[in-house]
Amino acid sequence: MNRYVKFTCRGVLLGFAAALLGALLACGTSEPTATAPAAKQPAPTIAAATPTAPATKQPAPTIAAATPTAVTAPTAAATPTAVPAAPAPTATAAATATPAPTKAPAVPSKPQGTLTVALSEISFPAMVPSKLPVSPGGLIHRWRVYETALNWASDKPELEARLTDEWSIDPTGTIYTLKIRQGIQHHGGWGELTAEDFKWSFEDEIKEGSIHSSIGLAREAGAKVEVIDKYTFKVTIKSPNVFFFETYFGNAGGATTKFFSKKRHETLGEEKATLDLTGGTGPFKFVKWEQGNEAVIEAVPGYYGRAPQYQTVRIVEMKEAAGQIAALQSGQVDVAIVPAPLAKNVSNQAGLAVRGFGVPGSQRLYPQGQFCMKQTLDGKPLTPDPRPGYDPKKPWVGNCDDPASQENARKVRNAMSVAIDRKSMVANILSGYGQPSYLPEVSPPLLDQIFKPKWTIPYDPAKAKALIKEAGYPNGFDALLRITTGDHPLETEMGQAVAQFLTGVGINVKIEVLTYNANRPDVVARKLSDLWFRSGGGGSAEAPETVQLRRNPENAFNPGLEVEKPLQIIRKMDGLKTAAELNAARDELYDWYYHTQAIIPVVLAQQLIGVRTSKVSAWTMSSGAGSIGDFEYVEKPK
Amino acid sequence: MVTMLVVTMVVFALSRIQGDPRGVLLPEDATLKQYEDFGKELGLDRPVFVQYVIYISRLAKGDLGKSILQRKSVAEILRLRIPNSAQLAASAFIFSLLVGIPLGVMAALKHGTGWDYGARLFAMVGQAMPVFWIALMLIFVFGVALGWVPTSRKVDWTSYILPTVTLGWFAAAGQLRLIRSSLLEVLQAEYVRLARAKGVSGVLVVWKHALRNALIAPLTFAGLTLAGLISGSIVVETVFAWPGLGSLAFQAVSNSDYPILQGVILLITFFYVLANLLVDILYLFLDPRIKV
Repeated sequence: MNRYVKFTCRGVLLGFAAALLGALLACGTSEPTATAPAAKQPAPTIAAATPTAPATKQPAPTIAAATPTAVTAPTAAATPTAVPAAPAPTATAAATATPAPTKAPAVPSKPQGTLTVALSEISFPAMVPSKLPVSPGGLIHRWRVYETALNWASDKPELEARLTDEWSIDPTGTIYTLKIRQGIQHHGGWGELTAEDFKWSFEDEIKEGSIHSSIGLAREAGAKVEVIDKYTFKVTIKSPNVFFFETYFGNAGGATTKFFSKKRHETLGEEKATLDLTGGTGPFKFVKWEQGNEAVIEAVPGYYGRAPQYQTVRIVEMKEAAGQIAALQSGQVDVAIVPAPLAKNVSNQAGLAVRGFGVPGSQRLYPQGQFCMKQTLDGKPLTPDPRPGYDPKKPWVGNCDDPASQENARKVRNAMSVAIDRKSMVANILSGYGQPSYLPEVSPPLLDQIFKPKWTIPYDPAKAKALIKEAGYPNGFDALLRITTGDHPLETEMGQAVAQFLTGVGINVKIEVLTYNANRPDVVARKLSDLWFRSGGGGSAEAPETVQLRRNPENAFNPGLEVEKPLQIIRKMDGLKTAAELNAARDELYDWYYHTQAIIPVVLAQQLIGVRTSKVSAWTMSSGAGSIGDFEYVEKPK
Repeated sequence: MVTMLVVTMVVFALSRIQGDPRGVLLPEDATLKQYEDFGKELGLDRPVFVQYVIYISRLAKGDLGKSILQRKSVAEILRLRIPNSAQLAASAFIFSLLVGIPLGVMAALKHGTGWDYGARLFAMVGQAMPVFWIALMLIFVFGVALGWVPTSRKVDWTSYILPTVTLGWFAAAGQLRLIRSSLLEVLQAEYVRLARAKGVSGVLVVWKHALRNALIAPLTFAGLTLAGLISGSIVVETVFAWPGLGSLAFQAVSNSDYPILQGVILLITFFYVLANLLVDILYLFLDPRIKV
């Protein structure tokens, strides 16, 4: 198209549109927004150079262009590592007070400019701990407005200092003492952060009626908080729990405790505080949050840690992946989530790059209906008994009271597992951006530390057919496979591939696709005894045993696995005090999962973002990241 | 009123079937007690009939309830979204009239010529192609490849162009076809031939005598189209990330936020009823033979 025609067409098009819309726009209503009051911003009292803000350790700017990962099994760790996640939970580490870990120095340059990020959902603000549901609960600390006691390091899977710079655990492993940095101010003029704020935040999130993610483990552990002095608090649990520390003090999952201002809550009252955007202690503050449209955060001057390079981060909602990519390609946004099949299209365009981030999401197959417990581990009877979804005729369930039937069910589950060509799924559906999964719901970095080659599941359809025959189904059997949607852009394709592999070994699979939300009530009611392909968008550095594999019968959610053995092992793990003991227990746990295939791991899908290289040269997100965030680590090109 | 009442029942029943907000709000390690307690807080522990009675009695007082997720009044949330959807629907409606009527008249007058075939092709494409595909193609061509307009979101006046064309094309195609067929029929009528025989100019014959009588069917279509443009914009608003009622409904479905979903659908139903009423009134002006 020559320049004249192009220009003329554009003029005609725009002129026509202008005539159509002029009147409309004249009376256009701009949507009122929740806006944080500008006033009352306290003078920052902590400079990066003050003694209380430990300096040093610049995280390596390490985001490299994502390349499809090699489709190989994770390698075994060369040497047994310390406690895979937090170094703190062991009593060994606890005996001595942990010296203040290092912290990144503030970047001296003044933040400037705006970074626009497209996300598929801008949920709703809920700025009270007990009102924080899973998704926004993840966002407010991932976006770095609110903060946690500790932080997953960006360059290694370890927790490092954030709001607290000293911590210790007593020799019994039941008392955690943490000291908050002095002089940190809540945004919005809500005063200095104190130990009372932690106590209030923690107690609010686990109170009756709370919907916060953390409630289960905290109640199970009987956690109590006591304020020692203005900056020091003590958390006591009734028995040692190796997972407690990283769950509540780290920043990986939604369960972690975010520090809210008690004064803010008391001043505003619960209802106003829920929607109020002031507060937080991080490098950014909220200035706008329109549910379903956009949220805007701005750099806070004088933040005690690493200063952001962008003054404003605008996070806009675009539901459609194609819409996000188009906005990225046209320059309307600077960062967007990229589904694996579109990665090449994006990276081929000049000025754009595709990068991996965060923890890969676990895609797995639940053979539902394995309801074999009649009571909890503590001896409380389960009701209803049997569970409505317990169907011993289902080949993958079997009769819980008949060892021979259980053995056949195990063979069927193993057959289904070896029938899946995981490498092919990674190559053809995930375009190489992922890896086969052999341990249920375990993602890197933990996976890289604990994986052993003996757990590799080969693709062997001949063996699958033989196992099915051995189990007493020479002509195969019928199965309903539910694929739930809402977590990963390729979940339906992955679920369909699993169905095809199962069909290939003689299982007559029917597929039902529905939203996770529509499926959940039946899951909670333990009504289901089918196959469920469950997708995960992004993982988390939290140990899977804390939540995913701890689905005991008292929990509302249970994917269809109520079997004593794994719960007994995890219960035992809770009280372990050394890394060696924990690793040994994990061996036992994953040996059991490998042998039984009670949950069938399928693939781990890498999360990808497309970035405009003129706006982002590096972005080292926290190693525990499950979603986009850590905006202070976005680096501009020099 | 009867329509609205039936709609409340249908919407209420369907919204309960499609999901449970606890699935969105509660974490996976929530205890059963937490699950049940939250259900009580939302009133989900009561029989569905009782829930409906409570809902309808509040509705009678003008209370649409509170969003489960946003914890704001539904009326307030709708009030913020209506202008965005109304602006988009209105622009698409105007587009459909400005394009559909002239092209329909032209197709009728140039019956059997290339102009007619071209107009009919435009109509066929507009009605046959899925809206989301049209949207993506327009985004790709005009937003990405040519870079003339924003690909999505409500940024400035140029961001109306693509969603307007996407939304209005189907309606324009419908108008075109109705106008064309009605006008072809009317142009054969004796009074038109008489007018021509009396020497009335072609323009007057078409635009004053024929078109007015050919407008009854298109007018009915236009009325329903206007309401449909508001309700039917769910896909368009989602693809273009437009902060209107359609995208709000999509979010409400995804999150099982019953009160919002019910509010949006009631509002849309109201628009339909209102549009029908307005069309009936307009008939009186267009055709004096129609009496109340």
